[in-house]
Amino acid sequence: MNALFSFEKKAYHIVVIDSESMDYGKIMDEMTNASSKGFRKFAIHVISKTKSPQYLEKLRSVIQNNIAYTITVRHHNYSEEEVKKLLSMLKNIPHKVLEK
Amino acid sequence: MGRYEIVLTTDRTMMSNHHGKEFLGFLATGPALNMPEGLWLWLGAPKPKVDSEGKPIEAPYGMRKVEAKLLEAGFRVAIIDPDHLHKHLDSMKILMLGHHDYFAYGPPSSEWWMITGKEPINRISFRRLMESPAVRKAKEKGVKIIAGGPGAWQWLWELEYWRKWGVDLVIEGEVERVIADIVEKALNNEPLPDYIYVGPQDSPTIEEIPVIKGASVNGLIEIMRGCPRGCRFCPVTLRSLRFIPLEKIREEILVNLRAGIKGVLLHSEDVFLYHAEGVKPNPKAIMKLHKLARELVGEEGAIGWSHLTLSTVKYAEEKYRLVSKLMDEIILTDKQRFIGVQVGVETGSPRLAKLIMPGKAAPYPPEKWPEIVIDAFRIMHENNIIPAATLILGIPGEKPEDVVKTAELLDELKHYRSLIVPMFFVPMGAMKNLDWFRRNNVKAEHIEVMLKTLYHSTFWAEEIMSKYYLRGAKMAPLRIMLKLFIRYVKHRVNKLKPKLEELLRH
Repeated sequence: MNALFSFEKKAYHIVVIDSESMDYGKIMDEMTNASSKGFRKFAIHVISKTKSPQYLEKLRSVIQNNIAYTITVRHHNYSEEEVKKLLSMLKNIPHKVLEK
Repeated sequence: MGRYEIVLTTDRTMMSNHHGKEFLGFLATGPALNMPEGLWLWLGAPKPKVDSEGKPIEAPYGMRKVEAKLLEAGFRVAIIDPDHLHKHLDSMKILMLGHHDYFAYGPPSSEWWMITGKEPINRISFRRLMESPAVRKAKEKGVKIIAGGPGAWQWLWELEYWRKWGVDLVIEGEVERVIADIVEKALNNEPLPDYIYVGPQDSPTIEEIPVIKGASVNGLIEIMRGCPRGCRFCPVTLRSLRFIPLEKIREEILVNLRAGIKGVLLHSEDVFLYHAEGVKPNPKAIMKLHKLARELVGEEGAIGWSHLTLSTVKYAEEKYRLVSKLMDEIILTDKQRFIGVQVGVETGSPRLAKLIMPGKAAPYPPEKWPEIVIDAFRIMHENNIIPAATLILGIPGEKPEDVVKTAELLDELKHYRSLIVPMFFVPMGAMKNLDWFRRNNVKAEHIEVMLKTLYHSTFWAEEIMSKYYLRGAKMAPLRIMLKLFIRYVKHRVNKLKPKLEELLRH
């Protein structure tokens, strides 16, 4: 929790497990869903084999389509251990995991 | 040995006072034409005065705000000229970058790049900074690099440079509320996100916006943030509207005067909307603001404006005689003979105006946009206000007949002292998800508009330079060089004219 910024602590977290077939449009759908519940801040965690910052290429349209919300984007290495660590950190924080 | 753990910097095209003439700074948005790059850079962005640590006397306003916020939070921070970064390698832990146009994707850089096929100087200069020994050394030592400012979005299209230069975080939006938290985490070596977009709900309140601690370039200070007009192509309109109180404005003018700056440049998307009710100017507040500015800078100092909206000019004059009153009673003095300002014409088509900027004409209807533009230009001409106006070509939804209407409007404006610059559409603001206007989209109507603006601006530029903008012996070298440049441009265009006319016929 301490690793997060104070504004991320109030955010809705979206964990994206990147793959060839991942539809990044799902992130926007999830943001729309969460905003209807009152969320205005989003933290997007991308677990990807693609290195930072190149993974942002797939996320560019999500970022570019946003004008209303505060967004942070974090990269995590693609490993089971990393996913477990992240999900444990988000245990008591509203979040959604997106894959495929 | 340096003593700052946080160093803010930018490249030469931004770290300059542009000879005290902001408009010259636009030279850096183009490539060096018919002259050596060094000379071009000197014309548009000469080196500023710095102290022994390399701290510039004048620095970009946005960077001053970040510096002030971090100073108030207790950090050891300073803005350092790019030529003096090496003096701070021992102490530096975070290098913060700010820029309007890191990679020349903004207007008008992208347009000059497209037209000439040559990289603009601002892009070359920024790359030179990032590949300088000082920045390379800083990165090797583990210094974290954070990039922000209005041009931050451009990094999303330059991921290879992002990787190569080891940028740790790119942050977009107003940062006052969040920056101390970010810096704290970076200093503690905690993992940073790669990207942050600060949305409107995290914009700072008036109380959270600090007073600058050091002088800003040419005395620029903001009098308000945000804009109520809602033009779809503009990022500023996404910000909430806040008016800076007179007391804070006074403090910032005094900071600049104490540093030896002779004037004040009032910054707003529309100076006449200071404390306005909606889009109708508040004459009392505007007069009070200008009286304060004149009282502080004195008769010797200059008052400048960054931007006005043409509908506000018309409304303010026709309803309250405010423009002539301001100019006659406060702005014009024996020393100050004019005021320059940036305005947006954008289009001559009422149809397109209604589509992309329905609020820009308010309180008049968008159908009257061309008439508003003509009236505002006349009012400004009669009152020694010199507008540098922009047009946008290639806005999504634009039809050939819209561009023809813009050409017709230009014919109506030719008697009014002004510079008019066409810009190609760059996706920003609420239109940032749309496509760029590219070279192969240029049609005959666009060329006609570009030629008309070129003839208009080169005609008026010589008079503006001689009689208003670059008067006196001190400015003679600049004046001569720029006149020569204008003549060179005219010569080149005249040579190309038969080809262009052939193109227009087909």
